[in-house]
Amino acid sequence: MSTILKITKRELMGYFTTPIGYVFIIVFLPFLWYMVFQKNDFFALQNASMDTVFSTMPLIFLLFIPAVGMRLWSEERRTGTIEILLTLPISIAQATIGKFLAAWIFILITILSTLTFVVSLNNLGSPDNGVIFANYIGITFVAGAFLSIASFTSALTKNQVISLILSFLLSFGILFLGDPGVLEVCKAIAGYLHLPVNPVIDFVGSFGFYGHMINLQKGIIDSRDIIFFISFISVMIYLNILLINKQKAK
Amino acid sequence: MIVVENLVKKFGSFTAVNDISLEVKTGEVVGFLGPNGAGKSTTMKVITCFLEATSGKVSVCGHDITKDSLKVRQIIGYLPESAPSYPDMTAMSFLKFIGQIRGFSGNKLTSHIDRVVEICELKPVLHKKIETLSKGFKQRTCLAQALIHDPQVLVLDEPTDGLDPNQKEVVRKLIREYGKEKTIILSTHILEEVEAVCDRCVIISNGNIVANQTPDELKKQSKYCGAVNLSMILDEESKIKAKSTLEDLQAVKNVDVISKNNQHKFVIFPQNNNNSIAGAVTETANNFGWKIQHLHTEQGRLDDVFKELTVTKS
Repeated sequence: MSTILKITKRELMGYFTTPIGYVFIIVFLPFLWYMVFQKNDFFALQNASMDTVFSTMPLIFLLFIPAVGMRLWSEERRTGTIEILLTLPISIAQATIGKFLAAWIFILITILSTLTFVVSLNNLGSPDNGVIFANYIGITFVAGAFLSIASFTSALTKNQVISLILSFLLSFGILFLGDPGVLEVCKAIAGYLHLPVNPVIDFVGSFGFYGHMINLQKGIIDSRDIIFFISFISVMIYLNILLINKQKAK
Repeated sequence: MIVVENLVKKFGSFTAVNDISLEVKTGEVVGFLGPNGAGKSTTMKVITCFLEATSGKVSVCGHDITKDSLKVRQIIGYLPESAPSYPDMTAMSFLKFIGQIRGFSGNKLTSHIDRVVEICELKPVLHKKIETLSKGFKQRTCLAQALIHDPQVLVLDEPTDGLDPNQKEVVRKLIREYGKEKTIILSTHILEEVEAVCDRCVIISNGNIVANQTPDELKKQSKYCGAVNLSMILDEESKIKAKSTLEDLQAVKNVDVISKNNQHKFVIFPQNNNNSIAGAVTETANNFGWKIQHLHTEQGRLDDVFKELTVTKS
């Protein structure tokens, strides 16, 4: 365990000893403000809720998290430090989890920077802080799930841009996989083709994030949703470990 | 102690290492020599558990690299090729990180860091970011990383690459010191380095070991071994005469002449490498009244043997 944390600490330091961490936060926040205040007209809604913030964040994360995660492994490969890391007496699992945690903590810090919204809202009106809390839990897990995809694609290629695009596409796909609109369209096409695949569409759709986010957005913390996200992240990290391991024998 | 048995490493259809076997004993410094792409680095990467072998067996101090990989990595200190390190860290925080991962903390960590900083002369750059350091300091920072746990086995991939002559000497001295009690494998392109630090020289070409001997034994294979170098000032006519006279000597096989104005360097090859011909040459020179500027018998040339063994004959 402590080995994981040592890796995490080193990795996390990298976000703040280089401009990269600050750049991300500085880009992330104004972008979020723009989306929330300009596009969705936060004040005109006359509603003391964070809904617009939380519905916007996953969309921003679609690009933000692949950008944060793309360097996790490809940077090690590019600079050759992977040879140092993997010849230290640690397991690949420890290295992978340590790195993942560091990036997740960094993203959590950026997420927490939106607490200013919560403070403002509590001054202006009386929002349901329970719902806000559930939303923070939800967004943290969605971010973790995106990040586990980004970490995997980062191990897949030395090229960070390819990693970014791949994880963006995968995240995009999985985010909208369970969207009712998307499912509707799929079912309509299947119906047109007379294919009896509606249960399959529903089953595949259940792996999308949409269905697991709505409860959290409503303020309901359902253990099934939490378990879904934890399982998703675990599977991706496991695949990540397998991938790094396989590259040793390539 | 490192034992490699029938090691094969393939990348797809390309065979990087083709059935290599060798043994490095404790207290021995072995140098890997070979052209680029010969399989030196790949062999090292397998020994250090960075790559998995396609087939074959490797053990380090009795621990199998696949079954006991963690233990092997604890024992080995590894300096990868081109000395990678985290550019955004300072040399100090980098060494601290490696030390902590290797299980040191508190006073023990500090004393280990102090030791390697002293050995690698890193004091002036300790708190500078690694990306701002010169090649020599980067190389030594990474070397310090490999030494931090005072490892029993050292694997160094081109340890003096990018160092200036003075720094090279420092690192070579360090390797000799370390090599007295430890097991060291190093790779290099610098032939005199092998002579300077290695007890044994393994020449690898196209994934195969083509020589595994002491540097002295290797040099004896050179056609220059026992050849006499003779420098004289002669006019053109006497030069030709001198050449044929020398060639007529019984113990002499042939004579090469390298000329610059009236300055001639004769390389006189003996019939038999074991018989010294210096005496005969000197006598002849005296008989003819040639003015000898310089005369010495060669030990043999490593670069010649290296070329002989590694250049693929077409």
